Amino acid sequence: MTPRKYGLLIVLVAVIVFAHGRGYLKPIEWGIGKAVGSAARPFTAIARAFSGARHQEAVPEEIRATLEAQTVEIIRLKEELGELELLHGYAAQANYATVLARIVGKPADGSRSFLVIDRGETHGIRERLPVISGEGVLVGTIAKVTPATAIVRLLTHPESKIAATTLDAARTLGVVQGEQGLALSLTLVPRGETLAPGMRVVSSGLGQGIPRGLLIGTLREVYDIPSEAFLSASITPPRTYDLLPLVGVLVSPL
Amino acid sequence: MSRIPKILSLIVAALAAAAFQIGAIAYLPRPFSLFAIPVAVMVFLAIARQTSALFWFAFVAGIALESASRAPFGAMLISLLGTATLLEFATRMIVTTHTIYALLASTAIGVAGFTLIYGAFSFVRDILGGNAPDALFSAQDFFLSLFVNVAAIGIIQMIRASRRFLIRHA
Repeated sequence: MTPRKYGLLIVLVAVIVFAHGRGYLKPIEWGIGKAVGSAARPFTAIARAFSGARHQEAVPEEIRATLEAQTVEIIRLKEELGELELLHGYAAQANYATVLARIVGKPADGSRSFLVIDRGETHGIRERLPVISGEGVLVGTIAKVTPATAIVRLLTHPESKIAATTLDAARTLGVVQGEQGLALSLTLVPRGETLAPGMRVVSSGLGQGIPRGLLIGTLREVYDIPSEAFLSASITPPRTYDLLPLVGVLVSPL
Repeated sequence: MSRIPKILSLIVAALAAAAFQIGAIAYLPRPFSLFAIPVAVMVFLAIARQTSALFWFAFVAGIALESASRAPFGAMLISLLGTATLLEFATRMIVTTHTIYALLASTAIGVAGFTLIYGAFSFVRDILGGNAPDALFSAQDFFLSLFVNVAAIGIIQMIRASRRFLIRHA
C-alpha cells in the first residue's frame, strides 16, 4: 500500500462516518443489516438447537444422520411457533404495540449479555425500549439501533438496572441488577421488608419506559447481611435468554 | 481470476464471515466465543501477501459487523482497517517468512491490534456514557482472545498442512 492509498482510505472512512451521522447511508445500512441478519439466522438456529440438545438423550446412531437436518428445522419452527403464540397472546392483552423480532446472533465483540435482533429503526424501534419473551417475561432493553437491526442489553448485564417489585401483598420494592453477565439479583431492598425464596419479581413501572407487571424471575436465595443497609436476593429468570428464538419489543402503549 | 469476480467473491466471503461470527461463533461457550473469524481470514490474506484483498475484506467485514457492534458507528470498520494496516506492515517488515511461527506471530499482532483499537473505542464509549470502564475484564479478555485465536489458527494451519487430509491419487 502506498501512502496515497492510505490517505484515500482515511478519507473514505471519514466520508462513511460523516454520511452515517447525516443519515445518508440508511438504505445501504438497512440492506447490509438485512443480508447479514438473514445469513446469520440459520447459524443461530443450529447453535441454539445444539445448546438445547446438550441436555437431551442421544438419538440412535443409525438414524441420526437422516434425522439431523430435519430435527434442527423442526426444533426451530416449533420454538418459533410456540414463542409467537405466547407473544401474540401477551401483546393482545397488554395494550402495547409490540414489534416481533427474530434473534439473529450476538455482537461480534464476544459480549455475553447482548443479543442482535432483525428489527431496527425502520420498524419503530428506539433505544431503551423494553424487550420481552413469551407471556410478558422481561428479557432486557434496547441498547443500540441500526436501520435494520438492534442490539438488546439483557437483564444479566452489569449496567442493567430495572425498578422491580415482588408479586405478593407486601409489594416490596427494589432494583433488579445484572451480575457479571451471568445472573440476576434484587438489590436495594430496605431492611424490615419481607423477602422469601419462591416470591415472583415483576417490573414495578417506576423505571423509565418499562411498564408495570413484566415478569423478571423468582427469588432463589435471600441475603440478610447484618453489616449492610439493604437486603438482597438472587433471582432465577424463567427463560434461558440464549435459547430464545423470538422476542417482542414494546414500542408504545395503545 | 479477473478483478470484478475476485472483488465479488471477497464481498461474499466477508459477509459470510460476519454472519458466521455473530450467528455461530458468538454462541460458543467462553473462551471459544472470542475466536475472531474476520481477523483469522485477514491473517491468512496478509501472510499470502494479498494486500488489496486484505483491505477489501477488512472494509466489507467492518461495514457488515457494524450492524452487530455495540460501539459507536465506525469503530468496527476502523478497528478492522487498522488491523489490516498493522498486518500488512508486520508481514512486510517484521514477520517476513512463511513459517508457522510467522503465521502465529502475525495472528498475535493482528488480534492484539484489533482488540486494542476496538477496546479503545469501547473505553471512550463507556467514559462518554458515564459508565465505569470494565478494565479488569477487558485485560482478561485480551489475553484469552490472544490465546484462543493463536491456538485456533495454529490448529487450522496444521489441518491445512497435514497430508492426511489430501486426496491421494493412484
